[in-house]
Amino acid sequence: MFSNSLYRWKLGAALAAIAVMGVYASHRGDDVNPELWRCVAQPQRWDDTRLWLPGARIVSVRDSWYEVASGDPEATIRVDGAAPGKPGDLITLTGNFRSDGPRLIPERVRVLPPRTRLRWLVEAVSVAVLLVVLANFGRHFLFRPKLLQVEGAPRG
Amino acid sequence: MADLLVHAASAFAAARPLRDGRVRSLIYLGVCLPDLLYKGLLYIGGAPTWLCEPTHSPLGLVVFCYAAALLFEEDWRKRAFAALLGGAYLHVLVDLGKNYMGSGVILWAFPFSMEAVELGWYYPEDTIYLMLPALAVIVLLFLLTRGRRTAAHS
Repeated sequence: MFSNSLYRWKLGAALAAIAVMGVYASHRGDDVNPELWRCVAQPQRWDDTRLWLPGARIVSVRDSWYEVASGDPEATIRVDGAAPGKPGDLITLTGNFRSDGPRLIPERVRVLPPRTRLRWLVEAVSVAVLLVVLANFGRHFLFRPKLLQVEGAPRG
Repeated sequence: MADLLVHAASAFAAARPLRDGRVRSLIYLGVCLPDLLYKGLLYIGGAPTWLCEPTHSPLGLVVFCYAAALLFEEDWRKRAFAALLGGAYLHVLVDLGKNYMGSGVILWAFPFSMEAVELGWYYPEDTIYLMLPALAVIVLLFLLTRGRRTAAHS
């Protein structure tokens, strides 16, 4: 399995399996947590679908409903119930999409804390960590002809 | 790659006792692999999110790590595969604790099921609170093991 025999076939099969997995996941996951803009564009098709909006901005607030914008491309939708915050606040929510309106019946709603805006800092640190990990890997595994010549030189 | 410092700390804690620096470096790389693949496919490849999901599934990672292991010289492939997969599974375990409002984060039985699971212990944005403790763990382990290795060599 790890030997050099049929090496190209093994590598080709592994890469093909990766491609097939990706396409299969795309196909099977298409109907799970669809993008908001798709639901708004085809409300009848997505009626009674469970939605998760990881990040949504409250656009306007009324007494018994509020409107949020989310996604890229951005789409807006009415959400039933009292608003968890004021216009401009970032929230995350799950709910059921209904084609009449269209509107969203929320299940779980949470106002995102201000530290969500510090994501760039976490990302920057993550990139730095990755560079250190890659440098450490390179230190052990990169091909170094001079070192090879010294270590591999015939003795005597 | 939202929280690689926390993942690196978990790998550091797991791999630091190992004597072979090459195996350790592979475990560190393995713990970064799921996010490296996910973000690479998403941002560089322009792939839809669902296409990237196998990078965080146990069975999917076997194939990714096998393909990566084949890039090593023959003598090292088994060890590379085991170390990369071990690191990648550690990453998935840490991610499993996240809270995505019940939507799940790990496709635990992909490709047989698309059900995503989560333990819901912490929100993704909470990782900023975990950064300093993670750094402390890395520094502490480094100092502890360096002291022991120096003593062992002398």
